[in-house]
Amino acid sequence: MSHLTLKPKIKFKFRLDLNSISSFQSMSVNRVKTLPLMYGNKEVRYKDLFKITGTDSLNIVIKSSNEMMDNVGKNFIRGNLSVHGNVGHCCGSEMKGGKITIFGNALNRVASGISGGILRVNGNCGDYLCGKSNHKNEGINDGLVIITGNAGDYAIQRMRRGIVIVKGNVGKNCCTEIISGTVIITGQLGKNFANKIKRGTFILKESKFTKNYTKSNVCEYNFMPFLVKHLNQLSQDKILSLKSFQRFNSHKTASNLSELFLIR
Amino acid sequence: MKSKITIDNTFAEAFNMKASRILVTADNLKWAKHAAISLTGFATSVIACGVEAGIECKLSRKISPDGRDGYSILLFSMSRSALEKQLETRVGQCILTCPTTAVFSGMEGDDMIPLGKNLRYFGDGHQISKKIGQKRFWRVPVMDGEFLCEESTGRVPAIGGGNIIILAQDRVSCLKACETAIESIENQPNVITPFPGGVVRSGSKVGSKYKSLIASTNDEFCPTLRNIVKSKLSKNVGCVMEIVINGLTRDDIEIAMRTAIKAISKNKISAKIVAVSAGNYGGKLGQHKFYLKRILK
Repeated sequence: MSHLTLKPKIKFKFRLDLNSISSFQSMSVNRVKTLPLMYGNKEVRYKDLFKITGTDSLNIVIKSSNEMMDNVGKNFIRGNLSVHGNVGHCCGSEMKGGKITIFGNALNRVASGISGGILRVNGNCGDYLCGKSNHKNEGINDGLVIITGNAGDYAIQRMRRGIVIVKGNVGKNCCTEIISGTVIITGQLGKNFANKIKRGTFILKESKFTKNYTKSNVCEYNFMPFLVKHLNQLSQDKILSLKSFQRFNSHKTASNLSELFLIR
Repeated sequence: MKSKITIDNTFAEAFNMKASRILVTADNLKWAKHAAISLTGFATSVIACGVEAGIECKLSRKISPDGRDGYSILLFSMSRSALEKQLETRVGQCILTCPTTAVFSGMEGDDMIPLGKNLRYFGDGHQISKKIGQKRFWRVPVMDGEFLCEESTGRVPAIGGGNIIILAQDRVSCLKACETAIESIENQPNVITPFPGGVVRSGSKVGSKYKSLIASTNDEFCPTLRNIVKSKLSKNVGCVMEIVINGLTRDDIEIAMRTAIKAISKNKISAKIVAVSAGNYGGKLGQHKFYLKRILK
């Protein structure tokens, strides 16, 4: 079976809400083609806006996408979704499983309220990465999010669990009010990083955040080789190498039980 | 030299058991082995040890969960509760204590039993939980750094007590035949041979003339009792040894029994092997029967 492929027929003038892509898995191709979609103030069908080929609805490919396409992969549960091009707001928000790969940049609120699955953006993303979804006061609740480029402001707020990797820089007010989870950032950190956090593990390259912590003794952490191998396997990429890490803990704020590994 | 050994027309009787697999890794193979040997020590028979355990195979760095050397270990018990208790006790005393080690679940199952779930309290509040994918791990601070353990491991139904009995003219050839058989199945997945070196010389029967004993020597196979009790041995048998095989499925045990018998028959020592037999309790106790001749077909 060939991948179910969607390619825009026109250049979009209006924003598109594509959250129904996540329900393709339970539909036949003919049903997908006739599925309603709002375009501007008109109701159209998918086949009016997209050239649809292929039959495998568990492996969906969107070609020539652009930033007018919002909610791509919202509530995604299973299967694979590959998007070639940029995407709009709320990509992969409230995702629960499966794998989404974006070969381009994404606008705001990528992976907000995600609770499972793997989301990878091979590019930059806007503000509020892994933030709170509309109806919850929690950010990422589980899953793996990989951003190979930079992330904007207010990223990774109120994270409960899961793993977020940003290979580039992050903007201001990132990682505030984190409850727990693992955050890996190999670029520069913006202002007000990790305010009011409770627990969690940070693996960072930039050392300026270490000033509020106490240096741990140098010793072997069995967790690190496991995490490195696991992440590299999941992402099919060498995201982290097993370099030596310097651990910091015991934050000067007593309620902050987080730890920090500085990549040497 | 004989080209083919005599196979008795009999069957091995085996029992339903519960099994679990764990993966133990360490900084190097030496310490992984220390941990694995320690955990599988005194785990030969459920009669008195509570669990039957053995090393299933070596784990290369490529396939081990954390990229370090390790061993895969299988544990078998008669009940879920006994398996749960033994696993926790043994991991706590043998893996947690062993330098550089970490322990992971080796199988998925509908039923999960605690692995590090309760051991985490050893951290006295300093333990750290990490959920990666669908699995939860615990990082317990210890004197060499930290002990990493997965929260739970799978439990699956399994079979224990598959066996072959080797009847030889003398002890040297009997032991050599056993060693050959064990070598032939030591890399087979999903099976273990829980006795020392895989071999047992004190096969047992159910009951005893002494009321307090639930098992006693298998007198039918004792060469020294041939003229005293109703013996299954011919005149020229000077030594008998048994290989007990536990496996996750019936097929696994059958493959192991077949491989072991074939390895013995191909070895030059087979000239001194009088016959290969199997141990059973008349078919009244075990749920599984492994007929030797049917397996070898």
